[in-house]
Amino acid sequence: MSDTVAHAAHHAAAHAHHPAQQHHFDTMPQQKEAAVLGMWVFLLTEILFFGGLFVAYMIYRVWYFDAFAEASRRLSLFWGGLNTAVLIGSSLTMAMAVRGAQTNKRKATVNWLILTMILGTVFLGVKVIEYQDKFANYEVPGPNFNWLAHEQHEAAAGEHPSTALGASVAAAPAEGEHRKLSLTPEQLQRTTQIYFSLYFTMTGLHALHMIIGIGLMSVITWMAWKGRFDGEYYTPVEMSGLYWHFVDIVWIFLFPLLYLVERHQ
Amino acid sequence: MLDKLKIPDRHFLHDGHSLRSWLLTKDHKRIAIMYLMSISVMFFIGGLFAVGIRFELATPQGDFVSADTYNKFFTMHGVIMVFFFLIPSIPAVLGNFLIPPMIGAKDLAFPRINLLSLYIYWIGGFVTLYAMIAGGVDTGWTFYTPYSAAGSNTHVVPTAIGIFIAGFSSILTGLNFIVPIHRMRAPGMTWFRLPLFVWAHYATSLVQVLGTPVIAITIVMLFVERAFGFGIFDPARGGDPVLFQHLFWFYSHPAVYIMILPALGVTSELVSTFSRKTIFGYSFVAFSSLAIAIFGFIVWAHHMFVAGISTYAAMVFSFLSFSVAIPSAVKVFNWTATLYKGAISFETPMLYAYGFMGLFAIGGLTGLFLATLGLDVHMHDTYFVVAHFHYIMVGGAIMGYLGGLHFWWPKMTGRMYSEFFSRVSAIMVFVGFNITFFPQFVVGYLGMPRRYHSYPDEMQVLNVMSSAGATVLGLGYVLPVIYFLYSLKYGKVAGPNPWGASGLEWHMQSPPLTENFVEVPEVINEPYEYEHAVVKETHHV
Amino acid sequence: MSAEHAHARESHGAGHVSPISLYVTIFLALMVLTAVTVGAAFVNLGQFNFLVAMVIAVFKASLVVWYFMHVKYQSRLTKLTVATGLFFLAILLGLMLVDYGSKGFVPMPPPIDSESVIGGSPAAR
Repeated sequence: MSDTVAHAAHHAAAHAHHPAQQHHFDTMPQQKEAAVLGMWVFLLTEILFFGGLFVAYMIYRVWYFDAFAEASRRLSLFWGGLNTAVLIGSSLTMAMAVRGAQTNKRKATVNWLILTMILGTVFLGVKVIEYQDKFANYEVPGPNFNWLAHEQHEAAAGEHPSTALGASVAAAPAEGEHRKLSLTPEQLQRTTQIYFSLYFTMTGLHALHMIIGIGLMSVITWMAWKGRFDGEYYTPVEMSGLYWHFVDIVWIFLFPLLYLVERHQ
Repeated sequence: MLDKLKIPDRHFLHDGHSLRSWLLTKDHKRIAIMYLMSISVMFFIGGLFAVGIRFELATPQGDFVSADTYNKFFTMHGVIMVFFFLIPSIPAVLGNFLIPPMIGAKDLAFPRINLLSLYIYWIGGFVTLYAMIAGGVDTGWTFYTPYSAAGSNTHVVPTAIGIFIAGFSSILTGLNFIVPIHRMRAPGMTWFRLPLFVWAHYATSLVQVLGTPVIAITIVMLFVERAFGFGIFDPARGGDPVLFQHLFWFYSHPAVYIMILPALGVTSELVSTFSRKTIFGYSFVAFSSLAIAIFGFIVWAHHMFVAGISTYAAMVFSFLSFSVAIPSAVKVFNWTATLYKGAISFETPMLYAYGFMGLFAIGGLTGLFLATLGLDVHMHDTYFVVAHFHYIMVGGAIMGYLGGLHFWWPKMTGRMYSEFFSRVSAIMVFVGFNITFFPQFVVGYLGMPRRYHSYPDEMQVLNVMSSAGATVLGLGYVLPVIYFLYSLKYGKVAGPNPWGASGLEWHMQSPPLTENFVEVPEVINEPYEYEHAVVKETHHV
Repeated sequence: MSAEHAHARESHGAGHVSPISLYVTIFLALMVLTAVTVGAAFVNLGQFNFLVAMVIAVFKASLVVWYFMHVKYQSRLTKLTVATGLFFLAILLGLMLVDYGSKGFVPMPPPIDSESVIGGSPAAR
């Protein structure tokens, strides 16, 4: 067989290698491009991962819209909205952290990263508050789930029932403002569990990703503090940034889907 | 004319002998070897369950084991073979070893992630084997709800977790192929100079990356239902078991393309090499790999024709399933055209390739029978389906794997194995395979259900034939272990290119250096330029 | 890669540095859009409430992807990668809807006896 390759010396041997350049790459830009592409391929898997949950949610939302609407109204718009603002803010601080690394500002990078982690922790703290409320109100799916517990507490406290469900429990016809629900209390007891199952799975998975993100970021912060990054090599910061922004994007969809199913009542 | 060949002094197997140098390696070739050992172990464990199944089915009564135990046999057989043998097999062993040299790179993009994928595979394997030893699972590898979520009292959760973990290994492998193929090809290695093996693995990696997360989330949903009592698929709370099937098959159908695409890539290499001819219609074959990968994502509900999907949806998926056969057929036609007027020979790798082409054709055609709605109503959940997928997975994927292993063994180890025993074993595998699985088409069409440990008396003859064939097949699989191991010490030295094949990997020494190439090559020729070949290549690089 | 090409790439090693004002603008836009989403939820648009919320969410996500994640300044391959993920997600949802849609989005009827899940739920035991 004829010689099918010409062996040409093709290293970037003229340039001194950046200390962070790995031996199997020819240049730093090639290494960085590979890392960015790799990270995006990983984020692709995350899109499909959460996507499966979103698809399940979509089907059930169409099937049991009234139950989803009822259950969604139980969520606190205040905490959800606050968390959305916090997370979007943390995306800003993360972008600033990457920018700091790009422009060789070690201290700024560290500070922005710390701020991002703080905001992330605030988000998780709010989620703890929300989850605790759910546990207290028997809204966790499973054997302890009791859809009517909230209503019974309200009725006992003498408040007016806030939903048409409460109205039908009192055997009074729905008022003009409230759309009459098509589901019986027993059906709601069952189908709202699907909503809450998805709620806990989706937000739980999201929170897990945030915890991992905060963990990753603490490592990156330490590396930044140690001066490991410069204008030519800040790839780990950028990678964490991509991951963190993705987690933010998931929440951008979770918030309206879970908290805003039907609020115009 | 030829120098006496000897094993080079410096090569990747000699670069460090400690356990630590292996367990902490970043060398894709060492990782490939460790995968080879791991999946071989898993193959034989899965094979043991197959022995149990065929032993039970040699008699019509369920007399060897109870029905529940039999359910565990076929479940564990499926779980281990699918997730821990077939899906990693060619990519993790041959892909890991060969893709960097084939594209002219020194390693994959992320060597440490490659090592991580191996560790993740081991952890997933241990968790699943623990579940097996603790008592096993009896839901079938398909884990349908509500039985898997609520009904079964076997170890569903640890098995599901083991599969979940192994899925990450698959994703990381795919990721580690996509990036270098895009960004680390040697100068002059354009997309259309890549070996078809690389195209096949690129397509496979796309499927791994896009499909595996969906079964991961399905397992998460099954897990929360089983462990916490959530109700996503629980009919009593309004959940839909068919939703589980949709989500499960959205991955598991493309998964079968993860299992076959690499073997299709291997076959292209073998057919071209052993007919001494450029592959006919290179770009058609390359694009057909991509087409299979993409089309594979839109056909999943053909596993659900009788599950409760609408007739309309069933018709749509039936039609789409016919379309996915087209790119596969393109490959078979192009291989045939390559063989035509080629200088054909019958070395062991090529014997596997011949076997592959015939058995893959049968498996693929019977897939079309099953894609036909009316026929599937009759044959769903019968042994016809079992035969169909074993023709593809065993007659196809495993033979492709063995063919590739025999082809590149000299490159990986520097040694040739016994050509006589390897041919004997290839023929045993082919003959044993057909005796095992062809009767299953017949009993399946006659109505024998799958996953039952007993059957009507009149089907015994065919079942006994099948079990007898399985014995021959099993022996055919054991032989390579012996002669491969023997070759490591006593095999003839192979030299860099014992087959006279094209491709950058044959320009490395055998076994290769850790860094693959002394100098990064520049590619100036088209692939498979056999027409210019005169003598077998024997010079050292 | 030729030496010139390699040099051109070297000088872009730092990657595109966006001005701070851009980041702040995007942040404010995201906050405003969040407020709009919440506000729109209180207006009765019937079927369109969902569509409005999703369109705004997609737009917000696009801002994050394009500017915060720098995809605007990345290679075509990166852009293609993002698009691919969304495409396959669309396939998952789309083809599932072929099935569920053609069944009229009628939920499966609950079992006659709510407790009659096969074997009973493990949590119930």
